Amino acid sequence: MYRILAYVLLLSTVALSSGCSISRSFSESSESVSDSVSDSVTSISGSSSPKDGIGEAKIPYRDDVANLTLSVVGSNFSSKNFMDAVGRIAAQRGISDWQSEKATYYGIGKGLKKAGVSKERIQNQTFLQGVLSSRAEALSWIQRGYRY
Amino acid sequence: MDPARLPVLIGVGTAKQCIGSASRWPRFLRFRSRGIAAVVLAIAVRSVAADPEPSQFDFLYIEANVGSSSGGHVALRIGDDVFHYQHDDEGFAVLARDEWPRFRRIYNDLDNRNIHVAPIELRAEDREKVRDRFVQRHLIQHRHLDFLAALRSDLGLLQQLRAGAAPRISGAGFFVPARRRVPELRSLEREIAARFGADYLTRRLAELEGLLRSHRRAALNLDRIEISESRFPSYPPAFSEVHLDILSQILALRILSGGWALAREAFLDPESFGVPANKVTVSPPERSQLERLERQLRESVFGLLESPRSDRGYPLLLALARYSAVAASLEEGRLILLNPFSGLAENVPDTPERYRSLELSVVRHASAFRRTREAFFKLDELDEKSLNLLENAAARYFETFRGLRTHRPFRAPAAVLIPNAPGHFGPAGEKMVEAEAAAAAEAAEADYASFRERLRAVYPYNLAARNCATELVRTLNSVFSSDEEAARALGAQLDPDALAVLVPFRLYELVTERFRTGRQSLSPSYRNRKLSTFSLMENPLWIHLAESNILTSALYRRHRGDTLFLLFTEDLPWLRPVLGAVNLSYGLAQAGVGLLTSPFDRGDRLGEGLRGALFSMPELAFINIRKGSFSPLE
Repeated sequence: MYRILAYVLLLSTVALSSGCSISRSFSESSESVSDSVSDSVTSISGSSSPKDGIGEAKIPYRDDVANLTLSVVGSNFSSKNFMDAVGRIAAQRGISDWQSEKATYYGIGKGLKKAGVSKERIQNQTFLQGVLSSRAEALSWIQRGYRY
Repeated sequence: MDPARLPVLIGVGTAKQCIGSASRWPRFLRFRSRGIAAVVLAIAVRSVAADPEPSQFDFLYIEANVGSSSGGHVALRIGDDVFHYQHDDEGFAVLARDEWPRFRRIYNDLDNRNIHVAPIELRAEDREKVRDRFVQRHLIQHRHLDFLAALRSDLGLLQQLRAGAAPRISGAGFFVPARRRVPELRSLEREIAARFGADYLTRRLAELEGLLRSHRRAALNLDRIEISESRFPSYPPAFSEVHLDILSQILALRILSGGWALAREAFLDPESFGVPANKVTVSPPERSQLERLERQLRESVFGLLESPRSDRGYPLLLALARYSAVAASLEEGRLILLNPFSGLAENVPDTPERYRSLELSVVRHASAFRRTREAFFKLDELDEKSLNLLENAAARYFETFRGLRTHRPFRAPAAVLIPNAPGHFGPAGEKMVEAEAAAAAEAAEADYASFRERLRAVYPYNLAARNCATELVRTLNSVFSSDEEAARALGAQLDPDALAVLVPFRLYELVTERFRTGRQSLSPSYRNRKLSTFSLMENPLWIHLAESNILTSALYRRHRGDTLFLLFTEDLPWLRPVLGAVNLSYGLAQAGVGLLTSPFDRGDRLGEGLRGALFSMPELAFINIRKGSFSPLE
């Protein structure tokens, strides 16, 4: 009897003690996460200095684009695929018109610098052709990204 | 007891922790002075909440509780990002990334779990490598998962096209047909003609409609595509993504061609929410900024029309809608913003408990809206992200205001959302040829099933071999090119396949024993923080007695997902088997009653009773898992 009870205890403890998190859907209301809502809405006030051109709220997006760029330098990633990938990252960060957003280009510059690509060789990157032709300021904004 | 932890533990009063295997911190001193204790409490919690130092990242152990992660959980916090593995519905081990405030709120407060924090000290360049690797793995995996979702969408869309139904697209709800041409859209149309040619819209519409008619699902040859966890994938465009984008572009061009106006449900109309008009009147400085924003949005529209992006349809609709809202703001002299909650269902119920705190919520959201608005209109450069934050702040205020006024359910999603306004749009009555549709659907289903299996092979989840703990260690190890390099950087290297690594609390112990760790700290669970606060104000013994059971507790109310139990067993480890026996008896008694009620309640009470009994079993062996969970409104 006691042996059976011991096995049951052992098994239930093992069964219950090793679980990992199941995905949570984002179902909780903002009434429950007022601190994080408040943090996000007040991050506007850390925004746009004339020198920087991007705000605190867009640094995570810039860094994600930098990471993407670093990941694809030297690969055969196409220009179209790169723009698609940037679009997806931008959408996850609440940005739909990423071509008008400076943080996109700063992020590309940051990633290129990390990958060891000199400013002079930016235009040689095949995967950047679509981005470079998307607006006149693209190249200069990418170069500004080398500051980071 | 680790002396380094003394300040934190004193600060939280009688905070206790159990790490699965029943080891616990001994009781410690309490301050006589309530004022000093309160200050130290605030400092202690604040010190845990602060970002890790630039040359460290935090290893987190989240204690066990009923429901998900019943054996505990582990995560890495780097800056404001928390990385952790989750087991998702499709059976993958998914690398999630959450912002620390949200992560803490969910696990620490709602799930009522203590979070143990061990800072890992390393060189700044190594920290950056760790961060880059986790971000990269997260982005790559989510690209794979996005493609899987797109394959699933292909199936759904093909079924709709087979039936001749208009597909649902994002942004289709921003505009509705109108009798008269709206001045701002007319002005846009004229400028488009001037820039791109008088027949631009007509020509582009014809091209897109032709493209739509001929668009078919091509064979994807997915077997040729490598699925790697370390290389960014290049996937062919999914049928559903291309088809829906063409539809979005067609709708946008039709809107520009005239006969459409902004839909009432798509924007935050103060009248329909009952918000006083003076709260949204546009001031002269704001007017000048809105004029700048209007010009910017016009340029966005022109840029998107000619963009080489393959996904420009929805962004174009969104830019048009925001432009229309800004133009209306200038015309009417009141701030009109798109509603990012449009299309969502109400998620905050109209319960009496809810309404007790709603007035405070309205004040809080009104203040957030005012501050966000002030900050937005002071920006040197107006940008989309900041505009979106303003839209969300306004929506939260308007929704809670209406909820308070009408005493009806309202919408309050936790996330910051982009206006989406989904709706149905598509060529009316056109159906795909049945045979063609059937073949395409069969191919889509086969592609989905095959890709899903390949993805499972790359991101397997297995409770006994590949779980949240092992995968975290595996990814951390992948940052470094050798065991020696990892050991140099972190102080040690752990084997993800070792048995001890499998169990979260044991992994945390190994990390604190072997890695180069700084002073550990504790973020006490919601209940423990409340107990400490109450203990500063009243006799602690009386507080703990009153809060020791669900019958007399002022803090706890049973929530869906909690098991049935009578006594909290976290607080008194030495008495746990006795308390656990009471809980076990209670659970079995409920199960017994459930046997009788099962014909009427489909076995719910029987199931709940058995579940309660099951989670009482470890308590007999001094192990506490169950801690109760708390409502967002408490």
